[in-house]
Amino acid sequence: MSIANYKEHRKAFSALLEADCSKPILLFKGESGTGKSTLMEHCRTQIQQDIHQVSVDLRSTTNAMQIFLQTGRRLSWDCFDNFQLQVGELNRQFNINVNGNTQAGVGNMINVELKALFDNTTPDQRAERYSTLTNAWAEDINKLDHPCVLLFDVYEQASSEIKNWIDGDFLGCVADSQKMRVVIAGKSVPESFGWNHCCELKKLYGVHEAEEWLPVIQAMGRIVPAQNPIDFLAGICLALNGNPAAIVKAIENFPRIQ
Amino acid sequence: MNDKYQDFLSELQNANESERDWLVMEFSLQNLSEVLRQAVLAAAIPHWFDHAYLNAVLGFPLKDEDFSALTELSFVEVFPERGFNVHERSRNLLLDYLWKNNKARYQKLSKQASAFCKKQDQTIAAWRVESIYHGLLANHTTAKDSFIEQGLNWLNRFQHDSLEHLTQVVLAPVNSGKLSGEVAAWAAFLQAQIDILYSRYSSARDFLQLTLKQKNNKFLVSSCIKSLGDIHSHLAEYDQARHCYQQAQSIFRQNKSRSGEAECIRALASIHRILSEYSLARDCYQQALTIFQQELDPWGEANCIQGLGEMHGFLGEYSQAQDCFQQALIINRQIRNFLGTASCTQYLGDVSKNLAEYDQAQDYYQQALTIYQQIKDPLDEANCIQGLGDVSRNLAEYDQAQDYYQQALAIHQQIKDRLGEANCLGCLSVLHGAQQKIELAAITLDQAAQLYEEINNKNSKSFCIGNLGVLYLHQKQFGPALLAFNQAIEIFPHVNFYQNRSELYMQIEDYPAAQADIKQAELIGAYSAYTLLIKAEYALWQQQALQAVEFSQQALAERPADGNVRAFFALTLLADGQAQLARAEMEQALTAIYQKHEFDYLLDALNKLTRIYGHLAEVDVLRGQILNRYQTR
Repeated sequence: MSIANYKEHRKAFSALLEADCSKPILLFKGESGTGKSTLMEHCRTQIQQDIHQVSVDLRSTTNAMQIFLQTGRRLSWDCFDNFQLQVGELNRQFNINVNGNTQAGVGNMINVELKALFDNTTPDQRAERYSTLTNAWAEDINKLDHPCVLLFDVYEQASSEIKNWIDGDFLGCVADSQKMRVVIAGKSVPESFGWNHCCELKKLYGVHEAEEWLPVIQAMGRIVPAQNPIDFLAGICLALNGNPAAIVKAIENFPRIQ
Repeated sequence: MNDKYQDFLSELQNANESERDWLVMEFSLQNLSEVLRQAVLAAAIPHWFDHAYLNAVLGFPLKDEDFSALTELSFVEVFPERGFNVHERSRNLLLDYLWKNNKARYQKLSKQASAFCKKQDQTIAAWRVESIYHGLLANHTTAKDSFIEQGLNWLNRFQHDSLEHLTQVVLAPVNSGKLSGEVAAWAAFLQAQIDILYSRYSSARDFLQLTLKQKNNKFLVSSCIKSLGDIHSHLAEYDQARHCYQQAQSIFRQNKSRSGEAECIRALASIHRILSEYSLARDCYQQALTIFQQELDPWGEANCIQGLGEMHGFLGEYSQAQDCFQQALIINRQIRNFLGTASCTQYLGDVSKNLAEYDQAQDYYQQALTIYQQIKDPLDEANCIQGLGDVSRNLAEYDQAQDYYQQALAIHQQIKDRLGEANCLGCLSVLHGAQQKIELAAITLDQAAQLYEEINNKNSKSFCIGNLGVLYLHQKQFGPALLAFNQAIEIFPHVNFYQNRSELYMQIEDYPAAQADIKQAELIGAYSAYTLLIKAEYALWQQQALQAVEFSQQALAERPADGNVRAFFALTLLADGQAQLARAEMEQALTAIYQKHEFDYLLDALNKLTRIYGHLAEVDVLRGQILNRYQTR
């Protein structure tokens, strides 16, 4: 895929993939239309085969339980022995009986057990159980042979429960981990002193330089409809304040290459 | 080159910032076919779509190639696991355009979207929210009620993630002026509840102020004022909180919402309790209890009875407190309220501890602790462990007490409960005092006092200072002790401080000052057993032995398991010439006295008795009993 500029941001992501990465948390912050999701998509394509990756769109994720499930499905439940033990232990502790459930498969069973654990619970109880499970889950990830990159998009639309979980338990574990790498994008991003020392914040201000758009126009199979393409593009960029979403929308109406 | 592009650029350059986004969108729409243009507008209606959903919104089937062309547009993006969505910024532009230029079409598309969503699984929160959202924008007659009912249902069932999703989705059209009136007010009210839950008080207050603009719905207005009271209470703004609760209570009453009224009275009770206005709190709990019982609300009933028990406990009325906790415990068990069951059991432990019934107290604390650990309630777990520490300390099992306190302190620190941490430090300091580590005790008390200061809990700080006074008193450092009691009384005139200061005055033989403090303690009226005991002591040193016997006997009736009270009763009997009975009572008392300073006090009192009454028969026998017990304990 083609992406206009954001070289500095892409470089920060490359650094995140390094074995000796000192800042495992990378935050992309920008207004709507500044290209956060495109940048995230680009980052995903840069991750080598031998590195695990999990992408989470926070618009369709209502609680941290779904993130555990998604990670298990993506990386295989075989990697999460400790987590599974802890889920079983908590269910036993709270006398929750999930026997007799006919759904087959490890994933389904964990889904049922997790749901039982969080049904009809107060926010405090949920937070407490999330803490216990997050520690076990992170411990399993730390035992993986290769690093694991977790990409979270649309942070500002996450529920308060997820935001609390990300800002606290989750990023706290990432700060102490050798294997976990995290990228979070949003109009707003997490803030905390707890893990600030191992976090890189990159803001997205749009792409104002006309030249940066030329490869994108070419990749979209379009031509600039003007005698002097750079001047025309510069006018568009200036009028649209470098906002990538609006500029791409204008470009897709340019004539196609014959 | 084509003029239309130059014209487009010129238009963009001449437009103001707010118009430019729409000009780009309009330019895109102009370059699309009519069908695709219709599809783009329809696709902006839902928060996400797939081909079937979009067909339903459009009201006709869109050809595969048109759907494919739509999803390739730059402002249409993939929505994981659900299909696609129009990018937020473009969606807002399209919705505003449609609302402004063709509201009827907007409502028709919303109606079609709503009909489709209703056919989906409504137990899935995402579909339920989407159904309600489109119903509201289609102006369905039942949509408002469905929204309110669903919102309250999720709020009451702790499904806060679903509730927050609903309020966020509804607040977007409220903010852009597409929804208003009662729907807007309820959306703001429900969002405020979420904000309160997550301690975002400033945002909650703003939403509640918005809600209050909707004056027609009195239930909403009163609930809103009650919530404002809750915020003030969280922020320790107690006068404002009280004002809000009273205002809300009045509106609930006018509108005959009995349970709303009871909730306000119960909230007022909590404020009185925080401010140590125990009698007022007790009256409020009683009032609220009557209403909850009439309304057949066992949860409210159990809470109020428990509250009454706590107030009796604070006032030293242990027998009534015990009755209340037993009653509340039965109801909590019936309604399977595990937290309530555990806290009533813990309070029964507190009462037993205060009555010096230590075996019983340990039993209650262990029962409560098991439940707290099962329901994962670390705060109360820590408080229970602290209670066990108090019992061990009173039994002079200091190593065990230290273990318990350290365990509790670690939990309080882990969950960042500063009040619990301060309370725990306070307990540790008393323990250090009992172990004669006076310097360490004073340092620990100072740490606790600083914490109380930081969290603005002045009453508890005064108890810290009062405990420091007791520590000095046990060391016979009367000057610093007096200073501490005076300081504590200045912050919070609690009956215990007057009782302790009168004890100090009696030790330095300033009997008029002691008498004045006894009168003050009587006036306050709480902790009557201790007041009776110091009255007995005063009478004893005034050579009114018979009166001293009567007072100490009354005190003992209230605290039969308290070895210290029984021992003092024995001293008064001795002074009254009932030597044999005194000996028997002292024998029994000494089985329930454990700490060094308690033995020291008794030996001092025997000496003083000899000094005032002359050498009494059996004094040496009693001294021997005390020393023997002290050495063999």
